[in-house]
Amino acid sequence: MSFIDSLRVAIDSLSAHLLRTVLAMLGLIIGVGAVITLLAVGRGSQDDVQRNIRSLGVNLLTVRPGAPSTGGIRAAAGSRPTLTYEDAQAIAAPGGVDNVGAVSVEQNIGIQIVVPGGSNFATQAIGTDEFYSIVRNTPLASGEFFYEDHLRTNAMVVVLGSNIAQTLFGSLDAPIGQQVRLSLGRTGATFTVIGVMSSRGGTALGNLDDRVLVPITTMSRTLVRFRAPTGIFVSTINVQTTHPDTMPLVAESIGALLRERHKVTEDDFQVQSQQDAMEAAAGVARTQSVLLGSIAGISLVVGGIGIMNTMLVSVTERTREIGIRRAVGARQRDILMQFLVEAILVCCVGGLLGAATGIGLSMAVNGREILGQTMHARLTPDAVILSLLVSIGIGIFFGFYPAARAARLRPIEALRYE
Amino acid sequence: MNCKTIIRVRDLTKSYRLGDETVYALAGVSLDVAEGEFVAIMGASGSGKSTLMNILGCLDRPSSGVYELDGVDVSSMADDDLSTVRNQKLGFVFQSYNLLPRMRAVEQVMVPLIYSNALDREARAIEALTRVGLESRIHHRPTEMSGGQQQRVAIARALVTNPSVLLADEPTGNLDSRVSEEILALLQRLNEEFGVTIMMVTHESDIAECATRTVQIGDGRVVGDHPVEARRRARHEVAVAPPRASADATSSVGTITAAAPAAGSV
Repeated sequence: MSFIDSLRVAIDSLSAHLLRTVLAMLGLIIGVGAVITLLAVGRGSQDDVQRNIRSLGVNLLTVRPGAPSTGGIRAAAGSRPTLTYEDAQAIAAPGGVDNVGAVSVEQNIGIQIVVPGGSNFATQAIGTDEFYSIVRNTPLASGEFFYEDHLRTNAMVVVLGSNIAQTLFGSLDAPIGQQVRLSLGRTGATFTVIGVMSSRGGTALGNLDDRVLVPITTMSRTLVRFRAPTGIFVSTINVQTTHPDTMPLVAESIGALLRERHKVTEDDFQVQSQQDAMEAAAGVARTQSVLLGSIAGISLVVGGIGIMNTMLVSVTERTREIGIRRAVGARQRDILMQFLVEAILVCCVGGLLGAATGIGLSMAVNGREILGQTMHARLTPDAVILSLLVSIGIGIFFGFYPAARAARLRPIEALRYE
Repeated sequence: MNCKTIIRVRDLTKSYRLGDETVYALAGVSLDVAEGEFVAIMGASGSGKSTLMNILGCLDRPSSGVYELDGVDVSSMADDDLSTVRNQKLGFVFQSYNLLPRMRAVEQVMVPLIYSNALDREARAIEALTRVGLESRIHHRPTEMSGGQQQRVAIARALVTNPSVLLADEPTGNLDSRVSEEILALLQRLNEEFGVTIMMVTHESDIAECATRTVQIGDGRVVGDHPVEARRRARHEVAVAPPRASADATSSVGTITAAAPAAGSV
């Protein structure tokens, strides 16, 4: 029996039970569709993350306290503070490190922001310096940013994130010149709003629109009220390099300078490039999409079981046909082939329909806002090809048992089957 | 007619284990059938005649004994080889026709040819359908045909591979007497004019008289074996009565005679 004959028999038998065939395929259609859509959405969000990180600043090196670790992800948070505002100033100072552009520090603390009217908001305050807006690539929506003077004089000024401005004052312009109170536990002070940052939207690192910015020196003096002998602790020093190619060199020089300043031989800080952060974030996104894909993959397995079930019913129903075919000369392998081809055909058609569903769904979802988040889906041919191959595999795997059962039927018993 | 032995059976047994007991469905059957014979196998139900037919048809294996078909020992053949024997040397006609559902007559007859990878399937199927007088029903499906027509499709399917032996298991069991006579007449003509060797199971002596020899089976043994003294001609002429059936019957007779020189024998 040739393959063409098997195919013809399979098509005849499947079209004779069209509804059953479609129902058997349904699980697979949904499974393949889901896998393709989720992989596309996963890829899309991976792109989003990368775009976000890139938008946070270019040619950026990030220095954080704590021993370095492999893979770009720190094993533990809450490393002992070692970096100071003075370290940052030393890096930026002429003769400190070559090929360095702007250098900016960040220190996050949780605070409560209170407006005289009475409304208040719990959020994060970022203690930073006058270079933040350059390094973070974030322009102002209104007002002005810190000056060097503000830092030197511990000025009681604050720059609000766009969300905070909107929530507390109703617009991005209204807060300028207004007074707000920032409190941290029992301490607190009144600040004058001098600027509002433009909106950035949510990023992989949290929503910066919800933050408020205060000079790092002011934060240390009026809110944290602690100053170590070595200087003002910061959680991050962002260093902009003059050119992407100089990044490894600059990272090296920063390392040497900080080791000297901290008087250590083992690094008590780590220097991460934007590239590292991107890879780490992309890794997280990839893990996420693999996870989603695997969940969708479960539906593929369920679809396969559906097909096996239908094939078993079909074999039982056609026991007599099997007997007749065996009587007129079909060998076991002919029967095996007939039912296997049938299962694979169902899976191929189901896989193709599923791929069409997945592609359609991905295109429908792309760029649309769902639950307040703009979805991005990027279809890649490998996901489509992979799901098609997997469906054929499912056809072979789940079709084999029913087909083998059909082939093993004894001719006389099959002929006698009512 | 030549006297070549086509079926040679010696001490054939078939036993089943039923609990601790061994039950013999066949308790030592020996039988020779020459090419061109038309043998009716008779016996009460439970006598073992169906078991014998299943073994002769290579659908089942004997527990012991020898079965040579066309000079080849088939009693210990592998499953795949038995399939090939069924395909090439045997043709089956069942009481319940056993056609495949939904298929057109010509496709039904082509099924055995699929498994022998024959090339000119459609032409050979049409030729076989013509031989049984169904050239006007080639594209009909089982549901569109009478019982007699369906049985003739089954006979065409059995003949299409030019088998050495045609095995018919109560081929008229589901048919009324008029159509039964038609089918018997067809089998007689196939036997006489094309030299097809036929083994037919029946429990009606009336039908057995259309054969050239009857073999009686009882309790798993051959209890009687004799030629038919006065062979009865199946009365297919009876079928001439209603006008439509008469057209059918005469056309079938005419075709067989006309096709005889061209088709050749087994």
